[in-house]
Amino acid sequence: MKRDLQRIKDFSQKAGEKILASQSMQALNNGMMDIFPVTIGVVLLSLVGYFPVECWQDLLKNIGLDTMIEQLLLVTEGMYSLYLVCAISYEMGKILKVRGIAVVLLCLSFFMILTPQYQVLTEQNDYSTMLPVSAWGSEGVFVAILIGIFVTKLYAFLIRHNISIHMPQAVPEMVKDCFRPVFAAMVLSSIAFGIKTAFYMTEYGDIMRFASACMAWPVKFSGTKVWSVVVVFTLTNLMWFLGIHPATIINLYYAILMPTLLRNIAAFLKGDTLPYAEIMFMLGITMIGGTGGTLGLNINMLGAESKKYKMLGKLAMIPSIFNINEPLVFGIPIIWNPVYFIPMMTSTLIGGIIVHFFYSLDFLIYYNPTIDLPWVMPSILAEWLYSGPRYALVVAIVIAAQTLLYRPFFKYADKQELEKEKQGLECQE
Amino acid sequence: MRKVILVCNMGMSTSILMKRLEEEGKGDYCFTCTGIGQLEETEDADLILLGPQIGFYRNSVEKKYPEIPVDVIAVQDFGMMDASKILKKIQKMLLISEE
Repeated sequence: MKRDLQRIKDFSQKAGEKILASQSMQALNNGMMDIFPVTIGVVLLSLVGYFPVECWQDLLKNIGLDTMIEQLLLVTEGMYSLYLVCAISYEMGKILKVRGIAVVLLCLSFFMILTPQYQVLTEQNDYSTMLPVSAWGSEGVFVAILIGIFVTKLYAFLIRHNISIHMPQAVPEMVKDCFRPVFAAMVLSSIAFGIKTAFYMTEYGDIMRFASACMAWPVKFSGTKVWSVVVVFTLTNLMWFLGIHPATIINLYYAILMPTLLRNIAAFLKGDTLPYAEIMFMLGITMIGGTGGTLGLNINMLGAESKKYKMLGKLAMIPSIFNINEPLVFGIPIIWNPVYFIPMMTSTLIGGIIVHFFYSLDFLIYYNPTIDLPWVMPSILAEWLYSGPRYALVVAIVIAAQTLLYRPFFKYADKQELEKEKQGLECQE
Repeated sequence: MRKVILVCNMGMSTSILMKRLEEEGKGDYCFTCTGIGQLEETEDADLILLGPQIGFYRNSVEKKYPEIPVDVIAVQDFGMMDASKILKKIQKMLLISEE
């Protein structure tokens, strides 16, 4: 039994290393983190601008500020893919040691080349060239990721292997060095041109539409289905249980979720109802207290009897409020601890059931998808900001339910620990 | 003054540990904490310590910085934020790397 356990441990470590710590994953992760300032920077303005009180909204409309806020959010969050391609190519460049902004600009231009252009008849009755914003939003996410990773890799490859126009020996080294990136850039623009033309001939017209259509099935399957949230986050709970930080899976899932989120944002800015509302409410219950919904456990620990749980309960409470649960996960420890396996695997499901219940009663109506808060934002408060007091109430109920869920398992573990401590004392006497 | 870099996923859980280590270390050590994606200023570092939850990054970090010893913090030490135990292990690692 012990040997099998060790084998599973080794396998998960190796899998983590190969998949999660791979260069592409690191670039994706770091790139998405780099964009946070863009999306978080507009949060306050979005909160104020979309504050769901009717007289405030009317006032904004009269001054004309509502259009301004819409525009602000469109060019920041609505153009997520544009920022993403820059961020990922920068991070990938760092990893592959092709430093400098050249590779970022090259990837950006690649993205631009692939963006469709339209001739639009303006009011002045002449033609103007337009680029659709949707190509840089929900439609462009996967193209941005692919460009950020693979165009950068190709560029690094071309530079590193000195593939260049063959120049006579007499040409000084410095001059040759100058031409190397130029040649790489020529190769890459030709490739971009080739791809653009190829897609122009197809029914899709451009690669962004094509990528959207391709990803439509997996996105529809996992990015819009409400219960995909529960499935994915139960998987992350399992990873955490095995001691592997699930950050990469979470980021990957959010990348798949991006088109859905961006469509919600686009609808919100237009004043329409969100096409994928319930999934937003589901996302709020996934990491209460940290991966695994451990805030409930920490609350239980405040009433512990054994010394260890008393101490840990106090030590871990503040981090838990900010959704950091390393002290609990490694201190109890929760990882590889069979006592906590069941509540870890079911806490997200319970949260999902409660949210679904209230959502189907039409209790949860309003959600502002342009609000992007860091994951360490305490629960209840975060939900209040996303949606209002109703959602905050529902999450409070979820926390209560998770506290009840963890209670019997905690009580058992606490008793065991108390017994151990008592025996320890007796041995000393 | 020995420089030790603590790394976790985003630098948050290690920052809690860092304060305790600084008190325990009594000024002989300089600790910095960072996330694995932001690991950069490693010029004069004597040791890089990874949190157990990103232990699987060990090989890639060792490859990136072959001159700096890399180790993973033990699970229980990290969870209980046991600064004195971790510091003892740091001292051992630094002695080994000097030989």
